[in-house]
Amino acid sequence: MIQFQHVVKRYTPAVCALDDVNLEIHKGELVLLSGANGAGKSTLLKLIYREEEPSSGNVLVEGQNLKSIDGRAVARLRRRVGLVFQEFKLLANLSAWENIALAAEVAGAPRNSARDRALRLLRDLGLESRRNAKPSSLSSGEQQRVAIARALVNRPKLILADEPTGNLDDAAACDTLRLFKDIRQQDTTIVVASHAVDLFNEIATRVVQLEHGRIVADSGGGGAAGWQL
Amino acid sequence: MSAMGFVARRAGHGLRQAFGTFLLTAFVVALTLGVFGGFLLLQLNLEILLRGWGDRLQLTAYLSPTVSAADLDALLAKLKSYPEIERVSHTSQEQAWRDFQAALGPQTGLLDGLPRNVLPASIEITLRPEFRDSAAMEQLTERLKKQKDFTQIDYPQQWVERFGLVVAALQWLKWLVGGVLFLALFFIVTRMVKLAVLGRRQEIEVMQLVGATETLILAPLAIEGFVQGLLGAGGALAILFGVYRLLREDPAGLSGLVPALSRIEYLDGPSIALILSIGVILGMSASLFALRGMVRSWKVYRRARCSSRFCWSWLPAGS
Repeated sequence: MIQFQHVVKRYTPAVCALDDVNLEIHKGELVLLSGANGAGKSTLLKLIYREEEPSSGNVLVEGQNLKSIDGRAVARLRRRVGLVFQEFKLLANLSAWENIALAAEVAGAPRNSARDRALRLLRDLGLESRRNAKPSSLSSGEQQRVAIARALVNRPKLILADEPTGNLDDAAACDTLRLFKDIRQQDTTIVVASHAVDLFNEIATRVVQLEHGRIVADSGGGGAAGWQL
Repeated sequence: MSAMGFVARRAGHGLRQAFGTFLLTAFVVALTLGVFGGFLLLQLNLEILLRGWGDRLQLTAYLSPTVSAADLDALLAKLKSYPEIERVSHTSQEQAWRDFQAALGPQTGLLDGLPRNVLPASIEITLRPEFRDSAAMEQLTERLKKQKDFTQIDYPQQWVERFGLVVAALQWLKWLVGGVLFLALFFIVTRMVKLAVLGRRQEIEVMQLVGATETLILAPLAIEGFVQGLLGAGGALAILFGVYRLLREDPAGLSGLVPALSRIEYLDGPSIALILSIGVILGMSASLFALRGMVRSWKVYRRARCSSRFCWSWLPAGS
């Protein structure tokens, strides 16, 4: 589903975020990217949803080389990918359901259909009573669930999550983990960049460890069991 | 249809959410455009004033006593056919006498004993506005002098030269002051709209992340810029109308000092259209230029986050 072919990403000549990365992620996998700060986890994710371009090498998503695509194709790609961030990235002036429906409307869904889908997801995630709440009145855990609902609203085949539990307490982090587990059971590919290796080890099918922009360990398709730092 | 509905809803939502900023920006646009419009108003009224003065610039051709009534008609028709002549009017000897008497007023008794045909008949020639200069008048005078029907041709040479200087100065002033004011207007309005737009950077970032195209991001903000510019331009016209009414009604009695104030005119159609167009175009283009930089490169956004303590440092590079 995702291929990295000799990918190098330099922000400046002196700063190399990724150095000759070769990686293939298959459909249905839940891949945990681990590593210290600055190891290149977030850069790797950004290359997949094309917020960054590789300095050299190729990144392919479902066979499409992202190097040569224009702005419209980037937009199309992002509509097929669900994104979850540590800082949630919800719009403060929109309610919970409006934040979710926004992604559906951007993808072309009519207003009513987007609203129905948003409300259904909020119900599934146990947030029905909070549908009209603005992000500022939601707890961190609730905000992250809304962000996950937004990522799911277009039924993507791929979800990318950058430190999704970074701002959450233990209980909310466990909730988030449970959600990812449920999502994976629907045959969705998930790539998570996280420090919380122990937490995601439970559900990850594969762990890829990065260090100074290089892959230094990969548990492969055999799951995360027995994999150690 | 759903995309258009989405764009309209986003624009409406944006206007409601940042209503204070929207009003403040529209107010600044109104004030700045008001100054520019004030200059247009002044220029328009100066032109009207000059046109009035220009109408008084006439050549007086004194007729030979041998010109008969039939000759006079032919002569008037001939003069009217000249391309530089706008209109002609004949003053008979009798009319010239009456005008002179009226001009003398209480001293009219000085004329007692003089024959009523002592003053010559004449033709007052008014030139078209584009020929109201010293050279054109001199040229026409020379042509008329060659005709035996006239004994003398007069025109107020000093007046004509001064008038020409005033017209030329106004033309230069129009471009110079107008240009400077327009540049000031452009910079103030674009900076103001950019500041308002940059406050929406989080929204734009989220829109990009969920897969909105550049058009879908830009369109609602362009509509907001359009409305903002239109409201600002409308405000400027309202301010100018208020000033115009005040000067026209003249509660302070200023027209005693400046008589032209009582005849002041409001902006004409093209000037109103110009102000509305400038407001709308500046509002939209400032939004679009500010946004295009943000949409194309998130480096601007990152710089904004890194140096948010220095509010001016997050203006797009080159802005």
